[in-house]
Amino acid sequence: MIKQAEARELGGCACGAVRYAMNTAPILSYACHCTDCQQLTGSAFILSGWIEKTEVELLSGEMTTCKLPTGERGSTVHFCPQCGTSIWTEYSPGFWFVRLTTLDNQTAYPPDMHIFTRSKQPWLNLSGDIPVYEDYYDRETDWPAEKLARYNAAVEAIAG
Amino acid sequence: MTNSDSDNTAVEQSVEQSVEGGGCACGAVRYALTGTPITVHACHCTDCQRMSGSAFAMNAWIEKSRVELLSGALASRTLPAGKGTSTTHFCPQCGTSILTEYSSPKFWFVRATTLDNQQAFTPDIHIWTRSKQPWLHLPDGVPVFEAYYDREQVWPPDSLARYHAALV
Repeated sequence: MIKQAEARELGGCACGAVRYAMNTAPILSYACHCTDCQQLTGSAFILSGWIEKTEVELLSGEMTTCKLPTGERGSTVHFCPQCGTSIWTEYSPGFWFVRLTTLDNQTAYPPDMHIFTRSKQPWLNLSGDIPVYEDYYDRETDWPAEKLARYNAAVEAIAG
Repeated sequence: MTNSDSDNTAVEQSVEQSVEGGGCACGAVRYALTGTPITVHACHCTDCQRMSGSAFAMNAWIEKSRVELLSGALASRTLPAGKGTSTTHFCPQCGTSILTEYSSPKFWFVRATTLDNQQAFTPDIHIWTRSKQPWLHLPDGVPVFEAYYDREQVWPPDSLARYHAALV
């Protein structure tokens, strides 16, 4: 079993203009195989970490944003305008979905689950211990209790 | 030329010049490939992991003459990569990376899942797997290289012929 990192992790874009810190582990990490994520990454899936915005700090650089009609309520991608590296996306208010391989420690957070595998690349082998969902999943039943508690606390804090 | 000759020519061209359309997430950039790639890499290097936001980039290696930009303008950035440089071309509106130039100005490396048919091409070769994500299982029966490889030893003759023809 790969040990998950617990401490603050630094990351950034390919050209170095954008640097950021994640102060704690994401609530949940996942590999999303939807067609939008495949297009945005130029790869078979995205590796994203779902985390409270309050746990993420932009240390340097400025990002360009683009609103896209992806996901249920749309999404806003944030990327470095100098090199094009996308750093994080907002799907719901109060949370960032951070691209986990933009962390300097690129293996810090293996995915907790694979989602939208109905559109996965046919050659990709997903055998192993990581749960696989053809579409999305039911957060209430499929997330461990501590992740759910952290998520619900963050949603309450955002609602104020 | 008779009608039947003309029809045959049209059929042959449509087979040879299979066109795959592709583009960025916001739709500003559209392009077409007018042929199949010479080879397709899944590159697991740390640069590709960072730039893709994934475990690897799926790069289709193709002659520039077989790639047509149909709409939109791409921004570009040159960065050090290995012993040389790479120049990534991305949509300045949505950040989607589309094309990269590596060692030679004759070729593009097209991000294969920016094609509308995202399953059009399967990686022929996995490279730089020494830095691959530890949880990822690589498929059986496909060449896997911890670093790079010798193209003369690995590529089929038709790929090599295309490669050398493009360099002339």
